[in-house]
Amino acid sequence: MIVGAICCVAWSAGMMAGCELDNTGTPQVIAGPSVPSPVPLHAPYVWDTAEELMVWTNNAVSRGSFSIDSNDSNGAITIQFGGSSSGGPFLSSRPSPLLRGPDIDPPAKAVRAFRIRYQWLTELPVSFVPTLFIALEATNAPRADVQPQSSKSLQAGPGWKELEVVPSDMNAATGPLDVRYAYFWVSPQPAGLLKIDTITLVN
Amino acid sequence: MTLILPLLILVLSSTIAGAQALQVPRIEVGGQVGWIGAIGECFCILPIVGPRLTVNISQQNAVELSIETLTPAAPRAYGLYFLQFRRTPSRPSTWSGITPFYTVGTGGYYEHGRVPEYRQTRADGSVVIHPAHSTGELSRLNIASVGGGLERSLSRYASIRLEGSAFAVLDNGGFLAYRVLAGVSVPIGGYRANTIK
Repeated sequence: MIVGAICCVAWSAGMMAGCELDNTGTPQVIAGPSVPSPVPLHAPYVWDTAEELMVWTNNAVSRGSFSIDSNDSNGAITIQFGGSSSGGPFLSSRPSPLLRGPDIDPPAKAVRAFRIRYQWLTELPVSFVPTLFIALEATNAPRADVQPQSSKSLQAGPGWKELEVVPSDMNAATGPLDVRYAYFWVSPQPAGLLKIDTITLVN
Repeated sequence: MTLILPLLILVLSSTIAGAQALQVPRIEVGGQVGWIGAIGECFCILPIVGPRLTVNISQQNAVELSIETLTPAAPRAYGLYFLQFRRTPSRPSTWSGITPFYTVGTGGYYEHGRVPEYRQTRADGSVVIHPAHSTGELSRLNIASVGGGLERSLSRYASIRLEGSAFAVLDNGGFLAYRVLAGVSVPIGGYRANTIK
């Protein structure tokens, strides 16, 4: 009787004003593979030696064809993009190379940006630029299932350049992020060579 | 709404009790099938099906709530609901007699969907499980309808009816449509053959 009355009142109110219902529950997250950090960093949240950068390339999550080039600076991750599989110079249909950083325990506090030092060497016109996408697993993300992400285009040409990417979900409400790990990928893949010699979580 | 409410009041106030052979109970439940069509450039029709609840406020006047789903209804049901006043000017003296009625009412649309659980594997190998959930929407009253029909008792515990109505959707640009329905009603407690005043 009471339930019927409640339903009647709710239905009547809904008809007069209209209503929307969505009982979406809280998403659950199953963590992915962990990436240990066997190499102590010489500076907090900065990976810029060959040994430190290798943690990013040699783990269970990172994918793609990487090598560590020691001829330039203290060592750099090199990624050769071959263009399309049909031999064309422009875009590859292969999965984007992805690099996952080590687990940071305790989390890196108050991270406001992700920065790399890189060279993008290509003979293609400037309109064929790859974009760096970053994602951060943060303990203070807006929701447990949200990994703040962002992206920025790389600039071609010799000489080391810095690219700083600010996560788009980082705003006045959430503030800087407490990061457990970061990962990034590059897409599309026009023919060329990408070298990264420093990865930094900026706080 | 501004037009419908005075009309409802006018019709209700004009009720005149009279001798009747069949007495209806307070509540009837039923179902109906039929089709709905737009009046305009598109003469397409769609089948509809749904339940109906009738509350007899007197032997001649009733309020009915029907929910009519535009089929197919899975995995997302979309349809119309109607809240209508039904007046029966007179009732037959026998079970096999045919009872005419007319209706005036209002309504709106509703939508209900069930979203199954889905899993999203992210590039870092983590998996986000979005739980199954349902969504729904009930519009405000934005339909005005008028119609009529015929009802015939099959026995003390069932009757059949045929009805049609034209209705106007008053928002989303507005358009005219009609519906034709055939249905059954089951009186809770059964019809009675008592004579009443």
